[in-house]
Amino acid sequence: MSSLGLWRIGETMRMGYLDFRVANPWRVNAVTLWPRAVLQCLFFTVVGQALAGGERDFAFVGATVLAIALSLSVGVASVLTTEKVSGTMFRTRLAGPVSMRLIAARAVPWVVEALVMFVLATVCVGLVVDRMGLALAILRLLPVFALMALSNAAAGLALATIAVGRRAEVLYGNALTYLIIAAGGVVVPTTRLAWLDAIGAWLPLRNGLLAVRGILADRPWAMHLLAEVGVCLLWSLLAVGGLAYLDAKARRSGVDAFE
Amino acid sequence: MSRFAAAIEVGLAGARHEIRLILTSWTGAAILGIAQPAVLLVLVVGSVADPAPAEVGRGVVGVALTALWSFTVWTGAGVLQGDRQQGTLAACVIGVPDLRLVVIGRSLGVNIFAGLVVAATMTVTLALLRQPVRVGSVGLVTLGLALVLVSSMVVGTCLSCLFLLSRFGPQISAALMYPVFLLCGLLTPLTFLPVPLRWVSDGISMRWGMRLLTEAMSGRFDPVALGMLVGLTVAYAFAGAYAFARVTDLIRREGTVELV
Repeated sequence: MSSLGLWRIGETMRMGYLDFRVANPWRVNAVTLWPRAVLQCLFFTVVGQALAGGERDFAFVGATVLAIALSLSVGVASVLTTEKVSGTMFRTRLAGPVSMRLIAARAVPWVVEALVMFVLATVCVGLVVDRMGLALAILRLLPVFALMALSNAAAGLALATIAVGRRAEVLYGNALTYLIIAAGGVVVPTTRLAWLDAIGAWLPLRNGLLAVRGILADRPWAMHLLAEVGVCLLWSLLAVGGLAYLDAKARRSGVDAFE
Repeated sequence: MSRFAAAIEVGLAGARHEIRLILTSWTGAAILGIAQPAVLLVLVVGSVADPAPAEVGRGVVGVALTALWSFTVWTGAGVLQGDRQQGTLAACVIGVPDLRLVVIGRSLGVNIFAGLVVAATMTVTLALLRQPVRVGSVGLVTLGLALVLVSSMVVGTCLSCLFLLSRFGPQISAALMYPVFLLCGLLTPLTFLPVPLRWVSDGISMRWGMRLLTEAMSGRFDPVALGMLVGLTVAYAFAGAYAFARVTDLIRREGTVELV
């Protein structure tokens, strides 16, 4: 990539950060959203432990990824909805078809925040439930969780491309989060609803979580990690396709989901 | 028309208006009333092969109250803030009907709607799971649910006044969810809480509602839980009346609260 291309991406990321900071001031997030991520992780860890046959360690490892889902299933959609609310997409389109590279660069602050909340939740809940050793083992696998975050962000953006024209981004994003909780093997390995577990295989986080559990328990994990890469690519393709469709539709028919 | 009848009419009109508003922007209700209780029920009840009836009863009550609290902090608490966003708060404040009646009525609407949607969702989810539920005492459960709904309505009214003082209502709502889930032992054992935090738990009406309803599901009556639930709801009502008077004072006399 040329130095001009790199500069453009850098500037886009900077703009994304400024957009993010205006809507989510650090002081507000630090006293509301970050504690929510920690408490959500703690809540589901204790729920998993309290279930008949539930295991605290299993639930703790799973609940840490909910900090990622919290930011990247719902919040990341605002990269697209901000364009809609501000009425600025037409200006972006003047430069040519809107590429997913542009949107992805602006989503970087969301991914960073998700990982910050993941680390915070892991450390705090590890301390509270007296599992600091496990928490540190989880944190050593940060690259795997970073891949899971990318996978979740791709799914969030793909759903946002469908939702933006219907003003349904909050519904779709939350539906994804709750599907991950129910079918992602987060708190319990499986439920009584087999069809729900079948859906889970196509969701972000689940395969990565299986890989993490495999690494922590010294079991085979490579195929699960590969499956998470596949799911990430699939959702990324859907996001790219969704954005290209919206762009083409707006140019050809004048029906713009961003208006 | 007597003043009492007029007050009832204003309250019911507020409830109807709020239910229409919820239905108009139905996505939030779908998340709180359908997605959340269904998923939690699948986790709590549907992850165990053959749960004991008492466990099922406790799980069902816990999920219902979790959903009700979520509705309170996300919808009930934002009633006045929603008015401000839509530019109708000033009209409400200076209107002929007493604003207190309007807010109480709208909070009632939130709770009636929440109760119906959550009950329907839980019935469908339990049917999908083929999980029977044993209700020990229908009368006590009905009484407990009615009291919990009234308590939620009062809490929603209190929070609604407080939320006017900040423009970060959604973030505050988000921050209020899990602490109450944990402190009230809705789906988690209270023994998990550190001892210094248990007195905080005793000051939350939902914790006593959980205890009252869990006992009622097993056919037992818990007078302590009933007394605490009623007493705390009355205390919240006094706190709400003070908060309302203070906020309207800030709006009318000091002009330090934005109306639009």
